[in-house]
Amino acid sequence: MEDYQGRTPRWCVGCGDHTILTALLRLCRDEQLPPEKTVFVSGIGCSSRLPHYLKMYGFHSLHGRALPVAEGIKIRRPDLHVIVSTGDGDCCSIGAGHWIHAIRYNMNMTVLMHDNCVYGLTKMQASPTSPQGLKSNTSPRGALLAPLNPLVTALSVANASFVAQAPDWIPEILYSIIAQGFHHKGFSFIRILQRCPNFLPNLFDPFLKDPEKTLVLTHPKGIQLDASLARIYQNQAEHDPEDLNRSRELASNPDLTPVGILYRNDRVPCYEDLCKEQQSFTPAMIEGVLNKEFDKFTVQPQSNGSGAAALDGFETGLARGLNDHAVSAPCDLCQ
Amino acid sequence: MNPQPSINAMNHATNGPLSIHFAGVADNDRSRTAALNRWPALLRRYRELASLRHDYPLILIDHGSCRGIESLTAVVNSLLHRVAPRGPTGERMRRHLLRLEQEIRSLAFRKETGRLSRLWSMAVANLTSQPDLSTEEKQLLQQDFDGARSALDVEGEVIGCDANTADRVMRAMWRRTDGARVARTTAHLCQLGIRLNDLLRSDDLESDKSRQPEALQGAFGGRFCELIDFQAMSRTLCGNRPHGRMPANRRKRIEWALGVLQEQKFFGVEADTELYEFAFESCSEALAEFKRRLPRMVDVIKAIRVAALELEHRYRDKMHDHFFGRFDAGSLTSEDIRWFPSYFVSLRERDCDASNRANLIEILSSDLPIKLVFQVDRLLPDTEGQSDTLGATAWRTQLASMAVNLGSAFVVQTATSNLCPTAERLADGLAAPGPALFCIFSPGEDSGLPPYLAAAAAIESRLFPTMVFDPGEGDTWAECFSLDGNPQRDRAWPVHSFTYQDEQMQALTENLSFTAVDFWATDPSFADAFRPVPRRLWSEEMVPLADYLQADDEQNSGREPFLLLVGPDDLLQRVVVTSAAVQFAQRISRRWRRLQELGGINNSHTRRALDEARQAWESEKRNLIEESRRPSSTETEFPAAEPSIALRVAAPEAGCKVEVPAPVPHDEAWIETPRCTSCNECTNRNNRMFRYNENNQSCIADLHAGTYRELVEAAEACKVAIIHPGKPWNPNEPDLEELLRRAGNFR
Repeated sequence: MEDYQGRTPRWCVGCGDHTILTALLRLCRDEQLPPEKTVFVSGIGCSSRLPHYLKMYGFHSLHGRALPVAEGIKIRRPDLHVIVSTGDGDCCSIGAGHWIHAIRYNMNMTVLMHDNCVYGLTKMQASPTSPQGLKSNTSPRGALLAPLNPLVTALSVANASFVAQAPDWIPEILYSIIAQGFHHKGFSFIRILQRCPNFLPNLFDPFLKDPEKTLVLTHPKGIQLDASLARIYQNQAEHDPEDLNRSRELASNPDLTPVGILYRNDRVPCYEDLCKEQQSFTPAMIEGVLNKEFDKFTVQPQSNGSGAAALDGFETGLARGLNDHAVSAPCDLCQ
Repeated sequence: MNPQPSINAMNHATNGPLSIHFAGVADNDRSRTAALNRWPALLRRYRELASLRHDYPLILIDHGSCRGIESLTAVVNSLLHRVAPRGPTGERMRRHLLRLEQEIRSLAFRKETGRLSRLWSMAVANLTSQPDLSTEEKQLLQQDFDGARSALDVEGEVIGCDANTADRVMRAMWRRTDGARVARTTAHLCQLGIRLNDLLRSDDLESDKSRQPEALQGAFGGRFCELIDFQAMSRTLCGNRPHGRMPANRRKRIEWALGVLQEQKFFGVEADTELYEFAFESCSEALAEFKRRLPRMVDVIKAIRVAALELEHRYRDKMHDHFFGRFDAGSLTSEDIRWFPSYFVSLRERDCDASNRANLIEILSSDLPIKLVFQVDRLLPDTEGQSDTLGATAWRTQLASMAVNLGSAFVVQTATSNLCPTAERLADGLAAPGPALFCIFSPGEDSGLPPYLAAAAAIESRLFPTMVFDPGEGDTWAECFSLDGNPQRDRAWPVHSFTYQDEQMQALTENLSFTAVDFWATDPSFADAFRPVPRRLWSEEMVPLADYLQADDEQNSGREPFLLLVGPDDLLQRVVVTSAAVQFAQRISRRWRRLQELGGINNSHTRRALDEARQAWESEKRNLIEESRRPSSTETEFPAAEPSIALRVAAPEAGCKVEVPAPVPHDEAWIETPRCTSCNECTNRNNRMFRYNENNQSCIADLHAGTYRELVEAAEACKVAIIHPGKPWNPNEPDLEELLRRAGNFR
């Protein structure tokens, strides 16, 4: 795992991001992911520091924009493994528009939403998933609104193909879900209940202290518990991940905290497959097409040869430029 | 139809029917003339083929359908299903569309060629310009035709059934099937070429040439160039250039691979490359070309593999140079050969000389991706009664069976009448790796029947049955061989009901078999084999040929086999067949029987095994019955069999709690490492007492590297409560009582 580890993490001691990082390092090791073929994309927040702590390609982007960047990477390089680290504010607030359509596009990537129910990096502001009544810098009298339920939202978007929830304090379940999400061909959305020891140290205490409060969803197509975990988390329910209606029911029940794979559908097509080019374009073909277009405006040689010479020289220069350099070089006609 | 025997028209042989059967002597020309223009009774209903809905004309579909061909009937049926609503309007549209279909069919029968849209427009123009239609009727017709036309989503070439149909259909299907595969390979090679180019270009960007002022200016574009000092830029970049250029041998290797991929002529990677031709008219030519192109194929495969290794930066000179240095034609696998387009050879059996036959067998015994279409024009011997010493007829009719026995080629035998129902299997054969043989009976106009009917009759009469052999399906006959597509496969001859009127105008129905001799009767050159028998000479000794063939010699003694034919005046006639014809039918029947065995129909081995098993079972049962009837002589008591005790453990219901015994507490400190969340709490406190294992989860490194207090505090700080301090190891540590009390929370 050390081979994949980058800099030393600077998260707080006790932060759930450490567990998530460990799970990702373990995934990289177990899957032997080539570093040059793996990209971690993040937005802004504590969660989004993650790419810095891995020795892979990383893109620490703008607040709320991790998903469009990840989609751009995937469409241009579908051969790369793309993993997105985003937070509750990054994904469900400023990035909500991107999030909904990213689910719909179902591009093959794994999205980990570190949900600590607060804007932590900026020192305690209420986020869309903050519990109602939470006192913060932006809600001194307590958050007025009921929190958004990311699972219900994700399950209601068309083309959703993988929705799961995992707690950061049960590393085995967390790893199992992340691994299955990684292997799922499509948009794998995993909401990770992540502890913030600094600003909300007791938010998940009821679950940590009483394992009965966590409902573990087991199924041969989902996750299975080994004997030691089964001894501790005895509140289990068999749930077929392909049952969308039951998934929605479980996700929307306020009295339950289901953990496991809520929904999985391997038949939803991925956007990058649907819009795959039927033909590859070589530079020679692109040059041919461009020249054909330019020929429509070619000025025919006049008697003194002056008019056409300049344009011919331009075309020749453009053709030479295309041969030597990237096609994206701007030209007068394009501006 | 009036079956009254035309007593005046017939002239019977002086020796009577029996002698005709045995002697097969032609005694007068009038009889011969009358024997012409007769059809087997079962084919009579298809005489006006142009007015019947059947599988022709065919449409060679441009895009969409995976089969590549569809019958006009199926297209119209699909259209009707979509556009003809229930009710009177739907009925009217259905009628109009069926008329349109009929008109298009008539055009095809009149040898009008072209695309469906063209024939559709012609048929619409013909129908709407009929003089006896009122204006309103014309408007309704046009409206319905326009509605159907807008819903029509099929386009392609319309072809009728003739001697060239098989070649046209198979060629079109081959282009479609192979074309899709070749397009995928071409796209893949284009991708490889682009990426190899990218590697070379990124290497070029490291070169001195790319840092010259002219090159930098060219990359910058047209605007604001005057503001940039490219000379200075060039000096700066050249001075600080990182030295990371590609090794020369690697560059040379990539350039070689790229060159091969760009210059090869198998796939259209470069737009103006003249590609190889893959359709041939002879086996010899195809084989020769394949062998001639083999070195180029080796180069292409090498280039693909080198490219894949280089793009993943996995090429190792020491290992791969040696491997590719020895890579030759013998190293090519069947997977490698599947990269390339398949070869298509279309042969007519009359043009197939000895050299072609030998090469054909060589191809069928190999792994070469060559698809052979063997068109048979004629199934019957050239002269009646001539024994097939030269093997010509056997070659025509038995080639598929010979190929099946070779075991390596995909084989389809069928006739042009069955191209639509077997389209999927034909497509499978064209897509299969390795060789494929398509034996297709394609009669022309000279066969005595319309080509479609002659083809259908050949299948019906078992003379040229449909069969498919796919060696890729498995190892057993049941998996590989199929006689699907033949009528009534479990019978020796298909049986159909036939209705006619007798002299009293009463409708009578009989079951008639369609035998190989019925097919024989359609060929005018064999008219001598059949002699009509006048009504007055019909006797009890005359038996239908099918019954005659089923009976043995003893039963057939004194009998005369006959066929029922229908003349042009629709009179039903009994014609006696010669003994040569009977032997022919027996040969065909035996051949069909052997095919049935291979296809698992009435398989003799299975029947024998079943019989033996049945006899053994019956014998055992009989013995048991006899034993039970015998009074028992002793008072032996047999203890009742104890019921087997099944130990069942009820599976827990979903959602219920699983009761598992709790772990036994022990005195030594321990950590539930698998549950560690790697939060650094304990390692930050004492990284000598606690350390991370290979999974980045905490475990006890050295218990004595810290105090019991540190252990208890770490347990209290652990958010997931996985540290269990156990009992202290140093009894002299201060405040042990309080620490033990606090540690008690973590037992």
